[in-house]
Formats: sequence, structure tokens, C-alpha cells
Amino acid sequence: MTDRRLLILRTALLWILLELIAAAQVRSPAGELVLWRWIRAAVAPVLYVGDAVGSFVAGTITGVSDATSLVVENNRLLTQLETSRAMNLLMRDDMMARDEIEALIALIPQLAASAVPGRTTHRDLSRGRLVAVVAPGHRIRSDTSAVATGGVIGRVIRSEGRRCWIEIITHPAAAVAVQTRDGTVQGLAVGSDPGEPGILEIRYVPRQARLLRGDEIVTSGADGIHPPGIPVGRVITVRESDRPFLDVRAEPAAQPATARVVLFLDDWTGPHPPVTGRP
Amino acid sequence: MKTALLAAATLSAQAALGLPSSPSWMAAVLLPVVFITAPPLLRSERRWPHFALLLGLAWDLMLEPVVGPGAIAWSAAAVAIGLVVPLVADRSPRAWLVFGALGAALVIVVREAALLPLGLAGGLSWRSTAVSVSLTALWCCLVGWIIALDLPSRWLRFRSRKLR
Repeated sequence: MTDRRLLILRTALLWILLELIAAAQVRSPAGELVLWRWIRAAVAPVLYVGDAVGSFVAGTITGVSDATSLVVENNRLLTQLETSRAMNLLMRDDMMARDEIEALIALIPQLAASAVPGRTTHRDLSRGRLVAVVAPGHRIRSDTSAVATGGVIGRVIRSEGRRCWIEIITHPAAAVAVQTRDGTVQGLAVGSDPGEPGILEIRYVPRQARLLRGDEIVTSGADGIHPPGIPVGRVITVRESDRPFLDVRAEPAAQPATARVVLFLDDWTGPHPPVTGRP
Repeated sequence: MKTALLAAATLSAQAALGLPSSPSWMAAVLLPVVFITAPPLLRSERRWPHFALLLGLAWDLMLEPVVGPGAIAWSAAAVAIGLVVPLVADRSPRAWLVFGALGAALVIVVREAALLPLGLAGGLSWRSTAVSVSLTALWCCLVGWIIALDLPSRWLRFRSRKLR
């Protein structure tokens, strides 16, 4: 910067200073110092901008805070909604289980008072196993009959605490003493081989027995495990074979795949109690 | 020191020109303008803007209601004349006349402009401005003519002739 420019710059700064000095000596008609008015006029935009920036920042912070609160509230509501949905599903499941229990009670009205209900918690149909849980305080013994919607579903093979392991009647090792509803034909329902899963084989039915497709098979109570008169299944095929007995296949009355509740009939005594189940 | 005394005397004379007993047109002459036109015309050292600033402050203290605008006006005129004078080679009384008029016009206009934001501007009239500029220009021309006469050397030559 040349000396001349520097001189002019300094002089201009001096002029500004002198003008400010002059303004500090003069009062406006309102009695206010002109310098003060100038300062206010100079500071007002800064204050306005500061105020605007402050408002913007405050608004932004409030917005972010509100948004955060909304997100938190939204998450809480989502969690609550999911909880409600889960509870709704559980309640729906409970209601259906209750309906199943009512159907079961109608199936065995004489034994309903002593029966212990249980909720199925696990099923493994390929291995013919079903796990059910009973209410606290109940102890289910082994070889207790288990009845589900439709009829007999199996017997208890193990009990530990509240949990009971049920062997489904379609298991190859399972066997239930059965008869026709009128008691004229007796037999033993065993689980079929793995080639026919979910099918019962009725053994020891004499060749001269009057058994037709669609006949209902109920428990006879001869096995000492299952009370008599409880539906076991319905005959689907009756064939003659080279053996002295008919080759009979039956479809189980109970559906292990959909059973929610079971009733454990652990308090029936005697092989022939007076049971009059509904067909 | 000599310049300061001269300036003080000039300001006193300026104040005297405005006395109620003197003609009204005499107050229109801006006597201190010679102090801002003389340095560049006489090629003196370059602190004249600062001197003009002090001169303006003194002017304000003596003659103005507010301190500041006068200093701005006088220093602005000094800076402007200092920038313009080197462009002209003429240093005759005519140059004094022209630059005196320019200095007076600048002082009047800048002073008014400096008073304007303060709400103290009285408004310029062409007539009063023209009178002030003309009289000040004539005053500067007179000073320039006197300087051009070089009275001290003439006096020395006259004395030396008399002595022979």
C-alpha cells in the first residue's frame, strides 16, 4: 500500500472518528444522543439476526427434541402394540384352548371333575411325542391316559414337575385296547409303521367280525390305562389277509398336530367305570 | 510554531470577520483555506492533512456548535487539493485562485455533508456558496500574489541598492 493510500485511509478513519465524536455531542429532538441512535441502528440488525438465529436454533433444538420424543414415544407405542398383539394371540389361543377344554369336558362328562387339564407346549409328531404342562400343584403319574379334542391322544410316559411327556397313540410302540361303540368287536389299536404315519392299525379283529368302514372305535378299558368309551378313531379300511385276523386301519379321532390342550385322566379306578361318552 | 501562530491569528481574524459590526459578506470568506492550498502549491512537506485536521478542530472549537464536522471538512479539502495540485504545473496566483475556490467549495460541501447525519445541516444555497467560494478564491489569490511578489528578496535588493 502506497503512502498516499495509507494517508487517505488513516484520514478516512479519522473522519469516521470525528463524525462519531460529533454525534456524541448532538441530541435528537427527542432528547436522545444521536450517537446512541446510531449505535442502536447499527446493533439492531445484529440483534435481529442474533434473535433470529437464536429462535432458529431454539426451534431446531425443540424440533429435534420433539422428534426424539416422538421417536421414543413411537417406539414405546410400537412395543406396546406388539405386546398387545402378542397378548391378543395368547388370549385367542387361550380362548381356543378353553373351547377345546369345553369340548373335552363334553366328551367325558363323568371324568371331567377329576381330570387335570394341560397345555401342550411341544409336539414332535415324527417321533410320536407330545409335551404338555399342567397347573402347579398337580402331579401326573406315568401311564395316565391323555385325551384331546376328538378322543384319546396317548398316554403319559414321563412326568417331571409340571411337564408331562405323552406318547401319541400313533407311535409304533403305542397300544390302546379298543372296541366298537356297541362292544361287539374288540381289538388293539397300535401305531402304524413309519410308512403310514398318523394311522392306527387295529389288530386282533376276528375275520367274522362285523366291522365296516366308518365305524367308530372307542377305548374298551381293558388296558387299564384308558377309561372305556372314549373315542379312539374311525375305521378307514377293512381287508382280509392270510392271517386269522382282519387287516383294519383307522384314522385317529384326536389330532395331535392341532391339539392345544389335553386332559389327563389319572383318577379313574377300575377297568370298567360307567363312562357314557358322546359319540 | 510559526504556522500555528499564523493559523491562530487567521482563526481570530475569521472570528472577527463575523462580528455583528462588520458587513455580513465578510463572514463568507474562509480565511484558513490558504493553509490547505499553500502546502501543496509551495511543495512543502506532506503532513498538511494532519495540520488541516487540527485546523478544522480549532475551527470547530471556535466557530461551530459541534466538534468534528469542521475537522472532517478541512482535512478532506486538504487531501483533495493535495491530490489535485501535483497534476497542475501552474503555481501562479491564478492557480491559487482556482485551488482556493476548490478548497472553499470542498470545505463547505463536506462540512454540510458531515452535519447531515447529525441533523444539523442547514441546507446549502447556491448564492451563499458562490459568494463564499468567490471571496475565498480572491483571498487565496491575494495571498498567492503576495507570495509571488517575494517581498523579502525585493526588500533585500532594495536595501543593498541603498547601501551602495
